[in-house]
Amino acid sequence: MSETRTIRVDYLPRVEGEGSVTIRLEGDRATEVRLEIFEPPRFFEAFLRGRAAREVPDITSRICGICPVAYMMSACHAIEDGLGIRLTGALRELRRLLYAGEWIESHGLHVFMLHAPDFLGYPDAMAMAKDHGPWIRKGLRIKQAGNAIVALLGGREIHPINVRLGGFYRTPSRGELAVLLPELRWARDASAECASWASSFTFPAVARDYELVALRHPHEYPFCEGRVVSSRGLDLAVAEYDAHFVEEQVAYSNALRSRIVGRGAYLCGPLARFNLNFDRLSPAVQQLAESVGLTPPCTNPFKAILVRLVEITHAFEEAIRVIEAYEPPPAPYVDVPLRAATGFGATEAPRGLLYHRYSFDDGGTITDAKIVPPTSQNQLSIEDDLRALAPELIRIPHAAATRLAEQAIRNHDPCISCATHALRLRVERA
Amino acid sequence: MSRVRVVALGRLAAGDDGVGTAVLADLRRRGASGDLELLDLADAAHLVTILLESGRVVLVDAVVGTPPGRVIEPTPEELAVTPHPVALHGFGAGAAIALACALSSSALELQIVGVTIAPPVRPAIGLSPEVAASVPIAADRVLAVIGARRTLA
Repeated sequence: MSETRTIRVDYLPRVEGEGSVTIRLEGDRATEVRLEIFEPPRFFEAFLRGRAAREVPDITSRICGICPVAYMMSACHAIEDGLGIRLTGALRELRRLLYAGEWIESHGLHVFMLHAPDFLGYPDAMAMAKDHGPWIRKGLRIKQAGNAIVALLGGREIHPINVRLGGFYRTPSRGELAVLLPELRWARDASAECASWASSFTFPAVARDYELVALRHPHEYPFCEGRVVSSRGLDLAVAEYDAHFVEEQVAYSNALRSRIVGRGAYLCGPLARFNLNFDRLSPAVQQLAESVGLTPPCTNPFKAILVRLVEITHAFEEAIRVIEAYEPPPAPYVDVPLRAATGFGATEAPRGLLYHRYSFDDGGTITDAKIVPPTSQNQLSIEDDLRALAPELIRIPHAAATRLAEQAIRNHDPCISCATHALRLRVERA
Repeated sequence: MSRVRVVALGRLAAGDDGVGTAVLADLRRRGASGDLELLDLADAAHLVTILLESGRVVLVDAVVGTPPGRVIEPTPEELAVTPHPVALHGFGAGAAIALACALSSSALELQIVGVTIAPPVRPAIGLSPEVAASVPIAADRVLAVIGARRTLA
């Protein structure tokens, strides 16, 4: 009779939000894998209806404390798309700068505080700090450099308040931005060193057959703009997203989960961006990636920690580039006259593609909203990752198997609070 | 007197959780910022960096406890109330202090002034009457503890 084992983690540590996982193994096969998200649903899509379109960036930013900029940017782009408005020049560059700050903050916290302890065999960052203090210190300083960008441009570092449709309430002077440069240059170099350090970690030998999905822009590594592309040939305008991706609900999770219509699971996030946009990284960052053993195709989810460090370095390069070239815009925002429309926006949140769709009436009141965060899109792939690990999970001792399963989930830095922003509420009336 | 940094953590939009910020505002009103640097932090990860710099730190923070509005001097362990202290949104004061202790080669010069609050259940602007009444008492305690040097291993 083949061995059976059930791995259950009742409260996933070092992820954002509240979730658990159950894996039932029989022989070298997983017969059941359930990523159970029990954080209560938050109904954002429902209570956006009836609110003013101008409020949407600030309201949706409250979905997440670690990636509020992503929500603000996807919301702004969606509403501006409906109105045929496209920012150019300094305002567009400032949005990229703000987004770079958020990637640095979010990736920095994940790499050094949440994920590196897995690779080095520590239960948490506090235990790891005793032996690897200099790297933790570097990580904290790197994260703080990202916080400084968001604080300066966003008005404060958590839940920024300076973003509005059409731009910003206030734009910085050249001098205000230039103050950041010395620290950003230090942090860019430090991030590259950290990538070299992390390349010495032991990565479980896994190659997954993902369909990778990310934005792709003609010239840039994507933050705010681009077409939705996949490693199996999707190449869509953002407005076509709903025709190709579908959300569904399962009984054991409070989060909707996404599939590609007619195909199934897919993966968005750093690994997808890297594979689909390697040629859009700066030459120096491409060289860094190659020097740490990262070249596309890379479908080992455990190497996402390396990709995040490469992306942090790229984000610092991008921030420095924007600041060095910055000329303040003539006005902090362009006018956004509202009329009835439907608009679509997708940006690359730290964890992956973040899709928004809004319809609003002539008075600018939201009549319909749809938000699809990256963690919802990655849930099926996270469960498939655990299935792929089944032979290893059954082979090793239970405690080690539990740690490996947790680590595999953290590869994708899931944000459970984002994933539970919405739950379809069905009311049956007699 | 050498520099002393008084640090508040908390969110004004989380009701009584913002009591540290209110204590800092009280100290500013008193003009007590001469040798004091008053720092209002949004992200507890910054607290680690601050603790690792030289100089004394007085942390003012809300602590879940009863009855609400008591001014106490909690230990770092009493600030770490969650079973999983480091998560994306939950890098709390207790975790920050533990991390700073692990990273520091010498004892931290840290004192903590806490104000007990009921568990926050919903976003709210402003303090409850009992916690608001404790603000000047907590500010007095901050000024008092600055006179008593204590280190944290």
